[in-house]
Amino acid sequence: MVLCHDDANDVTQNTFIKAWKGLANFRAESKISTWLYRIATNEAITFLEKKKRLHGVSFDEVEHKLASTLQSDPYFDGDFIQQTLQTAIAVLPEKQKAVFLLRYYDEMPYQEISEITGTSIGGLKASYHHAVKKIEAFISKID
Amino acid sequence: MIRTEINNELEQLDATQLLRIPVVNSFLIDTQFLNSLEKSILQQTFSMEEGFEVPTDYFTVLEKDILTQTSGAKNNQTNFSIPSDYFEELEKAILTETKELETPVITSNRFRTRLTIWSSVAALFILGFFLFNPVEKQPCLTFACLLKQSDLSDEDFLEIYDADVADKLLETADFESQSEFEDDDLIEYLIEENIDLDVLINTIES
Repeated sequence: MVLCHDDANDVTQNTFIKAWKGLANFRAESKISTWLYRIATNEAITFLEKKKRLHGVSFDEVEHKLASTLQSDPYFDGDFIQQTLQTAIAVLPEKQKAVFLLRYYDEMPYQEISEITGTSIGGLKASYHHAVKKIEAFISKID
Repeated sequence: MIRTEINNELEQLDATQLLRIPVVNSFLIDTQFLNSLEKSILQQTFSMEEGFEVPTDYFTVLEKDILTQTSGAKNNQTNFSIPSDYFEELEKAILTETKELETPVITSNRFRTRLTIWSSVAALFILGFFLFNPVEKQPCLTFACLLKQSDLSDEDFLEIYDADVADKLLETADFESQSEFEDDDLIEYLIEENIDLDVLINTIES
């Protein structure tokens, strides 16, 4: 979700620290993986919003910056189309981005995504639909 | 199975570009990444939990300190000594003083002064009452006044005869003052008209 390797490292650390601290409050109403996903997703969304607020850059600048970041990132091993896809995902709104990643890459059923994000299945389907349409438009534009 | 479902979904959404892109994770992770992550997380977690270190003898020293302070406070309390019968004596002294206060003594001089003051006040009050509220008895010559004096109701009034009313008027009327007034007028009249009073008396007697 955060693209940059160092940012991902920070988010992962924070996720596990929060999970450790909140372990006593875990009520086992869902799977522990779902609970961890929930913490990680919230942590990533908070991180991205904070970063966006700090930098205060425009949409085009973000797009350009992300593309150049991925090109120079030693931890990214994708071709042009993969880079374009990641850039298209990166410019999505945070919630849509989370839903798309959980569905497209992690192959999660909507029910589980609903438990993670706290959104209804109908809402998730709509978010996923919007995300797919935006990514399609982005890739078509680049091509 | 879910991948198929996702691809069907993408087909329905007409996402041809996405369908042709292979689903791969292009982000690399170092071989030691998870190990170093685990270490750093554990370090952070325990440093947070053990952020404050307590010296080994902290609680023993603390206990001693508290006990020393407490015993010191106890000693401070006993710096002032109290005689053994202090409270019994105090009680007696208080009771004696209270009894003395309960029976006030009035001397004869004081009594006389008070009596004089109260008598003067009473005399002034009575004098003032008669000065400002003079009791004047007016002769009751009207019919309404008579009715008021007799305390009669309307029904009683209907049963009163005229003769009784006349009698009542005669009883209450002040004829003496009226006759005095008439005699004076008569004498003045006789003098003014040069009428001999002796001749008049003889005439009346004869």
